[in-house]
Amino acid sequence: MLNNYLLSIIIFLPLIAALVVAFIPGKFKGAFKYIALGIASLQVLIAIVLLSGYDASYAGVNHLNEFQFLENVPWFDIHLSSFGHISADYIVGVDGLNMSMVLLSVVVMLIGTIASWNIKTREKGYFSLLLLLNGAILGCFLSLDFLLFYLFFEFMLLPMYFLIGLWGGVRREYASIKFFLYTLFGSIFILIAMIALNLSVVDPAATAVEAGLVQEGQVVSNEIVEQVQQSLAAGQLSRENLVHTFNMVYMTDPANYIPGSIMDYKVMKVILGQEGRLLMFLLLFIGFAIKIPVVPLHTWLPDAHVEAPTPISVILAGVLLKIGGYGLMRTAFMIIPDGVGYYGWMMGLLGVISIIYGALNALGSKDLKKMIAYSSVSHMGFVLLGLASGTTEGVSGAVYQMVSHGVISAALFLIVGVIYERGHDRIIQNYSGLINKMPRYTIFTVIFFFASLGLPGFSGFIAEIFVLLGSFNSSVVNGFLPKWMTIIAALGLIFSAAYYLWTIQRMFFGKFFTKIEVSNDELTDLNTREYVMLVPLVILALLMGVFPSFLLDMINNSIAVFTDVIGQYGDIIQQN
Amino acid sequence: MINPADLLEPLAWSQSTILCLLVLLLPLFSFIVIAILPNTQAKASAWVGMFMTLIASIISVHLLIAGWQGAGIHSRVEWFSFGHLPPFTVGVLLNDPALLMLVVVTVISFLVHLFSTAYMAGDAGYKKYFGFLGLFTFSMLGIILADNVLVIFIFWELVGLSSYLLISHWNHKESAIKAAKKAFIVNRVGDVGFIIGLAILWSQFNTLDLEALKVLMQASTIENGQWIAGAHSVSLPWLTAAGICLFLGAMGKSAQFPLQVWLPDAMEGPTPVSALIHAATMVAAGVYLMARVFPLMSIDALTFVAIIGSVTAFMGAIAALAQHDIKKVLAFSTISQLGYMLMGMGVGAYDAALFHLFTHAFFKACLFLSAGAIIHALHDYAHRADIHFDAQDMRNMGGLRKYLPFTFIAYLVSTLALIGIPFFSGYLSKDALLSGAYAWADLMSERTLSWHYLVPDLGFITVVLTALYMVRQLLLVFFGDFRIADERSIEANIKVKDVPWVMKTALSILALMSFGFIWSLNPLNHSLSWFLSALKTPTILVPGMNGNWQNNLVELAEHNHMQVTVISVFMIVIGGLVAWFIYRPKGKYAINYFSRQGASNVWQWLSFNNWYLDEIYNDFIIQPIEVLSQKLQLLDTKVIDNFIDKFAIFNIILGHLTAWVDRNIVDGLVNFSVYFVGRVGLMTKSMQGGKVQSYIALAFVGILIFIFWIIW
Repeated sequence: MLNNYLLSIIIFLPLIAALVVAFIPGKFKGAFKYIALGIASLQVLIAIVLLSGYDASYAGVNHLNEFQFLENVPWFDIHLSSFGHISADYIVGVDGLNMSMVLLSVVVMLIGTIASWNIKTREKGYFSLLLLLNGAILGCFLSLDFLLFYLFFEFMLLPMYFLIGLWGGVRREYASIKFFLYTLFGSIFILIAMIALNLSVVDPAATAVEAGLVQEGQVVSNEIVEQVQQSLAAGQLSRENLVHTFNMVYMTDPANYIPGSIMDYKVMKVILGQEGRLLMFLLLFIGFAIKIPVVPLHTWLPDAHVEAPTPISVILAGVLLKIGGYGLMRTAFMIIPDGVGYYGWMMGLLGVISIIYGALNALGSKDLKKMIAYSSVSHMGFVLLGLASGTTEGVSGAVYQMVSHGVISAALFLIVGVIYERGHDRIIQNYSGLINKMPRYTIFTVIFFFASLGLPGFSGFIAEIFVLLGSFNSSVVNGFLPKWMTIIAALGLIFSAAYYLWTIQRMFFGKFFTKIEVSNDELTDLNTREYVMLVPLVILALLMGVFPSFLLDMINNSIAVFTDVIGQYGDIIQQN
Repeated sequence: MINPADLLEPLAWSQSTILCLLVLLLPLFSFIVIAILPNTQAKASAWVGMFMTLIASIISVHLLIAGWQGAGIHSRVEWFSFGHLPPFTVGVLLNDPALLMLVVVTVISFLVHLFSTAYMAGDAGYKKYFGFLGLFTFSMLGIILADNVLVIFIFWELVGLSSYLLISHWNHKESAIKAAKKAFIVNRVGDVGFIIGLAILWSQFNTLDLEALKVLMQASTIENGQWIAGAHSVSLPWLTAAGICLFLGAMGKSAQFPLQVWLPDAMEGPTPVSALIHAATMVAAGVYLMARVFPLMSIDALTFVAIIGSVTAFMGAIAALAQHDIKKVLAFSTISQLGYMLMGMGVGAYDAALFHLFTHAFFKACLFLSAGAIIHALHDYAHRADIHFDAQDMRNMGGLRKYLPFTFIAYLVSTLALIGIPFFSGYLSKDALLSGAYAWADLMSERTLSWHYLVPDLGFITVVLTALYMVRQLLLVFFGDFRIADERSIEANIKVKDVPWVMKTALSILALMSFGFIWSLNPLNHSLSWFLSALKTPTILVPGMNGNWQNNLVELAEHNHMQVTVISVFMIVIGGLVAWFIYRPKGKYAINYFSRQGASNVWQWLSFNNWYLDEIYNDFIIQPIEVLSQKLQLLDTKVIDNFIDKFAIFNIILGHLTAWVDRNIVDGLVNFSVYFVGRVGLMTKSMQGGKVQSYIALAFVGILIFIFWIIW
């Protein structure tokens, strides 16, 4: 019984807890963090249950009946006379595209909650916002209805804005507003594309009911659905009976598009000198590119990271950026696969630029946290490059990179937090020879630096090497990306080695000194709470580096469908 | 058409596979055990390391005896798979070269462990040191055993890591940290090439399994300038590019021009590490990689290898001429000898190149450990005599044969092997290499005057130079008078003390391997070596290959053999005599050399500074990148971000304007402006007041209006 609502539980548990926290009197402030911790742990448990019940043989992606733990409830249906119906559903479900994201989210949220242990101001607000954020993130990953997805997507901004703006560093107000407006700006594009899609796509099952082909309450068989789709294509259905839907899975089926609509496959409507579908692809891309972030739309990120408190940086880098990559896959790539071939080249180029530009900026950063923020830009560039390649290895590598970067960057921001908490300073040049004072901390830093620069044995290597192999292979398989892009992208590996090893040299090795006012006993080595956060992340990064099949088996079938859908447009592009 | 998936079936594990895995995992186990050991148990770490490597070497020797000249072992399991592509496999591929490498690595690793117990005694990082030695040995064995180019690359990177950790062992020394960083980054440059090489093979064949690659490579064809493998086809130059890119990886690891700059700096690490990693094993990994992928290399790619190899051999030898530091001479010598080996691979003398790899591993490890023994003894002397001097500077040495007779003999034997005197191991392998190179030039140029002859010619010149710098070193270190001894210590009768027996044990075993009779029944003729007659050069399988090419090469090489021997012995004599003339004790030049500051002419500067490569890279690559990264930081904050900020301010102004218009002018397009004000107002107000919630509501209203506007 409970099993049927697991996804709703994992989404709404933190949201309800946020409300509960908001109503608990402030004098019990010591309890808030325990509530948050309890909820996050419970979510991990639910995720484990999900994982054990998850059957990787179902691909999902473009078949609604192949989604697992599916909950599909009508949300609203508005009849607008001659226009037809606008309907939205509450649909949540998992497939190979979002299962790994859900696992990543619950782990990073748990780590983020533990990292929040030292929050000493306005705990009530902090923890209720944290829980709100938690629920919104999971909602975003699990929604299969575009409107629901968009709602959660927008809803994430609110807690994030306050968490940075109230608990952040010196320039927190500037950084939070910038973050908020920038992302909001991006979501306008997504909104436009969403509306265009809603105008163009029908729900064949609901339309069948409206058109009187089946009785209400009856099960709509596949034949009926096909019949509806055929009459839709023939223009035999009256507009009044069409049920416009936000269902993202229906949007992946070309047969569900209304002939002559903005997003119609066959008759390309030209808007602003661009074919409708391609324009919408571009809008979706820009919207999610801001979130990833892709150079040149990335400048909110260094500011947000530098000003955000440690746990928020952890969540921002660990999970929020992945919503960009995931959103791109679920919406732009799957709903408008014909756009991938058309814009693949541009996306690949932007990916390569992000890799190199991010790495060079990291090399030029003096602030440790800023350096790691730019390294995130660089590593997320691999995600974009892998997705743009449209090859199986490349896309799998991109998903792998999202999970891997989620784990490693979360750890890196924790590492920064450790030294900032003790020295209240993050300038690389202000420290030297930390190994003499904090040997264990240095060991963990070196491990994560090497993990992040793509050392084999850690997850990042598997991800990056297959993104590179996949993007190189693209020119042979589907012709999306030229070979030189891979060669340039691979140079990023040299730069990432450079900035990490340079930092190790400057901060950790050599003779001990600091240029800041800090007493000797303040620079203490890691404490138990920090071990509790860092050790599992090391283990995760190692496990994913040595046993890639755990994650890959989970996503393989879905990725295969994903690349097939994209690939069928590869030849068309090449012919043109 | 061959389906790659059929070539990737899992292959059964035999008892030998288990033994191989045991050899591989024992050093890793040593690393893990030492990591867990408490700091108080530092002494135990050496025992753990020694024990594990000893067992590993015994098993390796057993495997060698049992499996030599056998069918080899190939066991394989599925590792993971992508989508519906053929599975990605990992396994053990053991053939004769791999068996030999296994023995060489485990035995030298064991001897280095043994030697280090004395050399590193009292070091603060004793435990860490032995732990990382274990990690290194594990990674190196992984390269040897792996049956898959990607898995080789994985261990390839791990040896890079262990090298980084061991070079920066004394992590309070700025120079050591910089050297470690440099080694890693320069290797990464080569690795980028390696990755592209992997990508070419992957995109063509969809697998990186060595055995499968060979089958698929042979089945691929060339048509109309296209290289076709199954459904995949690319233009022909990619075939050669694949080989060259893989070689780029080897260039990094084996310190080939232009990436050789990291190796001399790597001498900042403890000397036994230099012996193990930067002389005998890791740097030879590039040669081994070439041996593994040899059948996949096109002739053009091999020619590239030969040119780089011979140029490196020459450049390294020149750079070794004017060094003061005893380890630097050996480091440049290593670069030069690695150049020889890769030249050998490039000219198709696969067996000779591997032969030189093995002989070199022993005599160079012996030289480095002897140098370590000397440095150890001099440190000890400096401590007792209470004088401070650079214990690695040969100008401070001299006459050490009287104090360190055992070390002297070991040094002498391995030096003779290095310069290639008959009856010593190096003679056999170098002779085979040069014969091969000469034969290759004959074949490629069809005996007309052609640039191809430059390759063996550089090889021969290097023979002279090798004799020159090694005899110079012998004279500077062991002959003449002990130059650093001051009157006070002579009066107090403080002398250089001989080294402990553990060091001598290690040295004697390595020195023994430098004798020619170990490697050949007739120590004058390399073709009678049991080693060379056993190693079969694999057939090159790239499409479009002339089948007789390799046979002709072998015939020509045998034909040339006597000529080559005579020339090279003559070269050695010249080199030795010149060195004696210049650096003989009490000679005018030598005395001047000890007293002068710096170099006296441009050639010495060039040699001493390793052709100014460091300076060139610094000025033309590193500095520009640093400047670029700082400029990009400015671009990011001052231009891109500034544009965003300006855009926001523009919107605020626009918001005020629109608000005014909205308040004062009744506009027909109500819907539109309400939406717009909603949007812009949100931006404006939240920028000022930070009250966002209420504006979200406003934005939502705006959005709703927008939806209606679109619908109608």
